[in-house]
Amino acid sequence: MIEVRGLRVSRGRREVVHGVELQVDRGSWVSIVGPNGAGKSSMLLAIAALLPASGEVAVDGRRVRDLPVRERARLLALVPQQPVIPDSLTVAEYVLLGRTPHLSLFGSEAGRDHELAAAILTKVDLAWAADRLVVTLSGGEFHRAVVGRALAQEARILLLDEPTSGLDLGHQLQVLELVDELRRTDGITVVSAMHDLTLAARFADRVALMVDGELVAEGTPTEVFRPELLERHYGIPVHVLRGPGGELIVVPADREAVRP
Amino acid sequence: MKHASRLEGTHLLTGTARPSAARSRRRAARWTVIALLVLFVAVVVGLFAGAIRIPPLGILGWMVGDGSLTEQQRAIVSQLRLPRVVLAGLVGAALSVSGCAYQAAFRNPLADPYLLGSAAGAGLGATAVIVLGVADAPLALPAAAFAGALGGVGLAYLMASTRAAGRTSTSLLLAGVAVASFLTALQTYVQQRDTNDLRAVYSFILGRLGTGGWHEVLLALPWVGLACAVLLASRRMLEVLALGDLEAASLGAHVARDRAIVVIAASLATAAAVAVAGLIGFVGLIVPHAVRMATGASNRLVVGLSILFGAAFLILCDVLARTVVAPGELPIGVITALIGAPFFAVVLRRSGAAR
Repeated sequence: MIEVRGLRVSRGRREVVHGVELQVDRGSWVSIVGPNGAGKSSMLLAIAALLPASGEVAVDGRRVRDLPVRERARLLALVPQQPVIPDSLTVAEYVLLGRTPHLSLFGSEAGRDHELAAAILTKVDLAWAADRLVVTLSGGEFHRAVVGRALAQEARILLLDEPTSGLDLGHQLQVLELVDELRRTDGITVVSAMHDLTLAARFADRVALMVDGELVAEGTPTEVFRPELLERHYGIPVHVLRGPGGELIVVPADREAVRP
Repeated sequence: MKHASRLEGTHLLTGTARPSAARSRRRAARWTVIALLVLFVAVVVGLFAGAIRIPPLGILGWMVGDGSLTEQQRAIVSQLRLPRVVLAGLVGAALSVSGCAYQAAFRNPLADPYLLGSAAGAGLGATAVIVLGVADAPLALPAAAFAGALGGVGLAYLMASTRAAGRTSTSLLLAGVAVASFLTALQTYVQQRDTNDLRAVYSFILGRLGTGGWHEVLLALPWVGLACAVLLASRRMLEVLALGDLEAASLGAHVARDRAIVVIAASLATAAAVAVAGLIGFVGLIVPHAVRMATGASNRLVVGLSILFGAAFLILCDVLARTVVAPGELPIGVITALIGAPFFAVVLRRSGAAR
């Protein structure tokens, strides 16, 4: 279980997260949603102690910030918002970089690491691309490789920072479904920062609405995605609809149509 | 449950991982053999070339312990040509591997070994001993240049770490630029006060291997050897650092410490190279890139190949430097740029076409 208490994050001189409280149950998927600049990414990075922050983040009672860096990376894996695309690494080598927290300073991968990486490549459906250069992958394939690298860390917690930015609809679903499947099969806990509310509602057990560095609502998607709440914080009228399968769909409403 | 699913995946897939790992090992082996051959050829050419004609077969015989050379010929080969070839190899290896390390650690393809003020520091140190008139004392010049180079990098590090954000590569880079300008200005000032020594100062700044002997080799060898060993061991770390500070930290790297290891190792090698050979431009920039483009490989392979090809490249450049206008000599830096730039252009074009 992840417990976040009184988390404050500053970037430069400006405080962007003002004392946030959040609990994430083991094996669940919590999505932090909110307008641009609300502090979603900052909060996510601070949970992994990748940004200087005050307050407390604990996983199963252990303070993340007090853990050695390597141990931290064995506990929490990050899928960054805009991962660096290396020029000359193959997909297999890229996924193997996820083994870093399991290797010593000047160490290199052994047989077990290669086997694990191979298994992960199958899981993320990139076994066919193992020897290809990462730069030759499409956007969706590269995102899966990044997820693969995070999985190679063998961390129990996966942090996704805007995992679908820059992807088309099909690839967005592909990446998120992959994560969801891993969560169910491997029991991984997922915390994501997302701006697409419909996708957040579809995949997350719980959502936390973040506005101006504060969590203004937290609960199941149905509880949080109420039109009046979203309208207040996004500044536009929205419709919260139900799809044919009962899934939540959040779309901006036509301003003209709202008028009587 | 978690474990079971992994095992299942592993079982399914052992087959696909192996070819991938095996293929990259084969490629590494192939390129290492090529590089060793090129280096061997360079050494042989380096021993053959020179103002005095010595029968090549005699030199080959000497290399395997046969004694058909005259006393004088042996002396020329073993006391003049061989130390010079070895020194050129050491300097070439040092500059190339440092350039490779800097490019990864700073995530900047234009980074060269002189980036953090080592060149300016070495220039200042050398100028100081020349102007003070103690440059003729044994090893005074290399020692001063070595100290100056390390001093320059140290100053850049100190300046960057006093800032709150000083642990990022950008602030270190900026500090390096500031230190380099400052030390260069200081060097120019010292030099202008005593223009009689201009020639000696410029000969250092343009780079020279002609004055090198076994003393210089012994001075450079431990540092270059140490740096090569550390950087070879850091090949994987370089890939992690190349992902940027945030991602490297998220993968469990101690970013500031790891970068310091790489930068210190590279700076020691650069300082040793500058101390014995002056400033030789372009090697640290082009050799790693040429290797990268030719092989398409990652730093895991490029670090080692840069050492071998860098050594070979500078040995061959030195051969040209001392034969083109024989019995005179061209500054080695002129050759590295004259040969290096067109060669680099060809590699650049070819790799562009391949993509």
